[in-house]
Amino acid sequence: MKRIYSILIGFLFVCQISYGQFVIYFQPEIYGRTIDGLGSFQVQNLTGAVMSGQIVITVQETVTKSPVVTITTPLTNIQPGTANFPRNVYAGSLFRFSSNAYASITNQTKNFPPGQYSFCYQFVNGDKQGDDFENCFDAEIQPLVPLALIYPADGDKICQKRPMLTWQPPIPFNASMRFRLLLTEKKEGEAVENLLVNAPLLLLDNITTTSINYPSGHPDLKEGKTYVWQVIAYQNNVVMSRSEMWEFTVQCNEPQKQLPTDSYRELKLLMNGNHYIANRSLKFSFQNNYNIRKLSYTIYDIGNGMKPLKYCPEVTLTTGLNKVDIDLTEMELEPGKHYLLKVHPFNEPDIQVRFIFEDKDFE
Amino acid sequence: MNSMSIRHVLAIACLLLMSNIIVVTAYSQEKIPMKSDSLKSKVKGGIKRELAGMKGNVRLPETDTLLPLKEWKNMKGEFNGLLNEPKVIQQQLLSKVALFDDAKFVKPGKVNASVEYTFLQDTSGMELGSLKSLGSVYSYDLSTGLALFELPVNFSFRGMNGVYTSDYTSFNKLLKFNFDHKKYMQTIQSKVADKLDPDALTALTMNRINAIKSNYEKSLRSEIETLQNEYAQKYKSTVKLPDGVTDLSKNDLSVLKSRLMTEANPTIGAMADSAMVGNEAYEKKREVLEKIYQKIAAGKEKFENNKLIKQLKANLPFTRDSYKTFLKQPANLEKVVDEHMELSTVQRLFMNMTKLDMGQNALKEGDFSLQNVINTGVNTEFKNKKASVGVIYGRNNNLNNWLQSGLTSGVANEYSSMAGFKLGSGTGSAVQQYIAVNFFDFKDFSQLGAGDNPLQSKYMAVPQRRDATISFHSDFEVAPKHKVILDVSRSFGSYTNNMSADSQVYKANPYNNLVGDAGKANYAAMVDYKGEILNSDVSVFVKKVGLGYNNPGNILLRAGETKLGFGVSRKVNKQLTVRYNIDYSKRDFDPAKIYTNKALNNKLQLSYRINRNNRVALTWQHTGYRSKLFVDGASRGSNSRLQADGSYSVRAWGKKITNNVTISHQQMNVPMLLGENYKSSSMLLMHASSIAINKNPLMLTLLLNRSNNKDYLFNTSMFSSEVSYIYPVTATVRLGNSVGYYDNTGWNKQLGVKQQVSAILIQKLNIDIDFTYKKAVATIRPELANQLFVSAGMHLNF
Repeated sequence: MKRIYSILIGFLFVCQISYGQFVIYFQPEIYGRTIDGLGSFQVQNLTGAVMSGQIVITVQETVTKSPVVTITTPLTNIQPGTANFPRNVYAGSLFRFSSNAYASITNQTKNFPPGQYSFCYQFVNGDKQGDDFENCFDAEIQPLVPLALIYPADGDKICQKRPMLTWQPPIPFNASMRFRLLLTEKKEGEAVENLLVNAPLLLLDNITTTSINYPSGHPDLKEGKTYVWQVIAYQNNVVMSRSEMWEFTVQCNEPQKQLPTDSYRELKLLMNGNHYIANRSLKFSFQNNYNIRKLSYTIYDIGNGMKPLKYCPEVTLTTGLNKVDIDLTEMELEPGKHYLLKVHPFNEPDIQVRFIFEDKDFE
Repeated sequence: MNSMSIRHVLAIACLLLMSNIIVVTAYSQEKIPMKSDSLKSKVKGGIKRELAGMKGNVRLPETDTLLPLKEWKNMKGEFNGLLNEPKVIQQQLLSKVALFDDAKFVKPGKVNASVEYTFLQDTSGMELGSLKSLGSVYSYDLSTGLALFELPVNFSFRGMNGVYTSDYTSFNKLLKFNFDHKKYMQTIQSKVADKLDPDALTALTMNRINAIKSNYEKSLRSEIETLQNEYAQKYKSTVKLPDGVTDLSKNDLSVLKSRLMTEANPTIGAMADSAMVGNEAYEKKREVLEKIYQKIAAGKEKFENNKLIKQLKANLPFTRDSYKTFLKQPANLEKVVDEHMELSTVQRLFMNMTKLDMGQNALKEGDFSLQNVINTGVNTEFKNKKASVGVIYGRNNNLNNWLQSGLTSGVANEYSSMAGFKLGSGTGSAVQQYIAVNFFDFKDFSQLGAGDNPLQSKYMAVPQRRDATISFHSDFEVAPKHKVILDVSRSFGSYTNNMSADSQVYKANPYNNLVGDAGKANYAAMVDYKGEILNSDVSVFVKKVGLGYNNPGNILLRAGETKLGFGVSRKVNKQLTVRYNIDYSKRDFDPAKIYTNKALNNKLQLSYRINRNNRVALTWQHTGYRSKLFVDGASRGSNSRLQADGSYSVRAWGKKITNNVTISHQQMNVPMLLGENYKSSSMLLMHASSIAINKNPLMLTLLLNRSNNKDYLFNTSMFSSEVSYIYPVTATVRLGNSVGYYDNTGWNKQLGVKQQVSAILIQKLNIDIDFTYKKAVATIRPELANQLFVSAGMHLNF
């Protein structure tokens, strides 16, 4: 009996040695999501001799017991030692898909739908006298809700020159997942896709959280400019998910309104004109015969009991003829209402001009 | 596969030009031959009639003998003026005017050259991670706008270190060449408006209307004559008609009817009708006149409802403004150019060449066509009144090496090359629609592999295959301000099993799946509505992407997703605006529907504008989801954001201080792989003030962030305050000085200085230099204790 046990144990030991002479390593959680990924495996040839053969990979969904695909690589030589399986050899493989829903979707999308899978790698020895070897890997391929950007929202106008950038990680979130963020400037007329080819303005790697404060070491984002950003999630140096490319504009103040480009009227002439329509600005020429540096003037709200307006913009003068532009857009005047401009020239009588304020865009 | 050379690109461009010339011939619009004689006579006739009418209205005074002579001389002068103006118009109608006076082959435009350099001292590797070796980034961009045969084109050459370098990257990835169709059409519009008098066009339009009218009138007269002859044969009497009854331009039908009926009984008097009672000829005459009246009324209706007449009348009279609006319609502009302007064949061809992009260009052709990708190759589209044809060819250029360098792409392998064509409706169609077919080839070629360039992404093995999509797009208005967009697409394709002889049995035709069912649920569709309802902008969409749908032209599409969305935006009054968006999505990840994800997203924005300087806004966004991501058990999660922001201004020391403030709270709770939930919460307060000192802005920014994270530097709780002042030191040099204090919880406290210099040299060269240095005053973690950042930019415009 002892002899029988010894023979059986010896036989099992030989089998183990024989099995262990050719080992295949594959990480299904990382590479088992796509057909292309199945080619990322390592082979360990411990026989000490070059082995010639084919790798036959069979994938089966174990819950529904649906065979999905059988991949047969071309005949290749496996050198002794451990090495990545040559990608060009895998690229030349034969793909046979089964006839079921899982296989059809995998064939069409080249991705495995989530499920419980068994990945079997079999080495078929080219030498018919030689041994075949097989390693199987079972894994649940989980779905991944893709990474999505949250803030600043796509197309947003924000008033933060160092905004907080936030995104939702791929779900389920893995603690070993890391993020890389890229932000570039979007030049006028460019599409957001130019993010793919533009030089980075902000590039952060190894982000462990799902939001960042715009680093204070980097220059501020600029008022009026548009920026594009994208985030990727990766794990074990493999990209797991990519976000969309979103854009936002830094805009704290309303864009400056266009001012008219019409000519300057001589202020004296306006004395007779009771219907001067001032579209966003008052434009007139003014003769400064003295060394006065600042124009003395007041604007009155006629409809409000001739109440003088506060905070009229300062107008600097030079000696001689001045072209004066008084920007009315900052003064909260009401369009269609009547106002009175009273200029107080030095040593000369006041000049009064009645005008109607308008706030209209130009062609 | 070797990279595509410029020669290939040019060869393809020539081929496309040739094909477009053929297309031009095939789809050429109906050209109205210039019937000079008839037109001339019509114009002359029209002018003569007008003048005769005017002369008839001139009444000379009878009493004064000298004065009338003087007045007549004056009037004669006016008549001559009137005669001269139509002569100019007449000339414009009869001969074609050269649109472009200067026939130079190349007209150089402005050249812009930029070089930018950024140096970052990243002592810890916290920022750049695996890109740490990069250290500094420089990029260059040389661009210019040219006019080739008066065709505006933009040309640029750009690159940067690490990625898109002249030694690692094929030349055509650095190049960009675009024909600017929009600018070309605008130039033509303005030139036509300048060179062709609107009155000439009015005269022409009137002639066309009159020509159509005379056809209708001729037909009407023939019908009336038939009725008159029938009556004359039976009753030996004629039915006389007043003059001008067949003139379809007369508007008052009641007057016409009374004139006709008067003809039935010319006897005037109250007893006239009763006297004729019982007279068959009289009764029949009335009947015939009634019929004639009906014919005239019907003829007038037909004429006025004629589509062309309506179209022509819609633009009359051509005032300066309406003329410009008229010319903005591509179909109108083309017609005017064809009839009155002289353009070379190439120039005319490019009026319809709505797109010609070569080199490295972004693609935005729609959700189910090509989107989110950069194409290196050729993309062109020809569109005339009746049809449009587009052709695209290119190589993959979607590797974002900045984002993916050192990483292996496990998302999807990008295609190596693609080709496609598009057939659609023309500018004259009310419905803009097209069908697009795109083919994507996947090959294991060197550019996708890990080359020598350390910044290149690594790619997994790419077995050879070909995928394709066929997409239909329709875009139309169901009523004014109600637009519907419909997209339908189907994908197909398979591996090209070309391993060896033994694979012959399994060799698949990639296009068999187009009609077969091998790719289960390989379709996608979307209906989108945008319109105005009850003074509110409303949008609704439904989108469904099949689980087996695979479009390599838009990798961001989510297979298996069904999504519904609704949005409304309303300006309640002059000050308050409300926007609300909601969407619901359900995604099945597998055919057995074991793994699912449902998400409901709400976003509400209220914006109240008190006046130009004062406003407040409130934003609330919440996404809740319920997922089944593991075989056993469902999970829930959410993220939400509440933000209030506003701006206000106050006066101090007689100066206006503009302030912006933001308070934002964010919360996230998402399921993790090992059953727990990842939770994150942060609160941000930002206040920025600016005041003008000597007309230069002085700014103070305070930023406070409270976060539950303590590990990652750029996400810890922090406080920062900065003051900056930007001022000119000379007419061409501006300086910006900043000082700040930064306190990062769990990290360091730092004092920082920033110096900015902006200078304009020799009026064409702008130089910007930014230097930032932060010194730790309290060090908790030595990484990033002292930071240096330098950036420099140089822009040359000449």
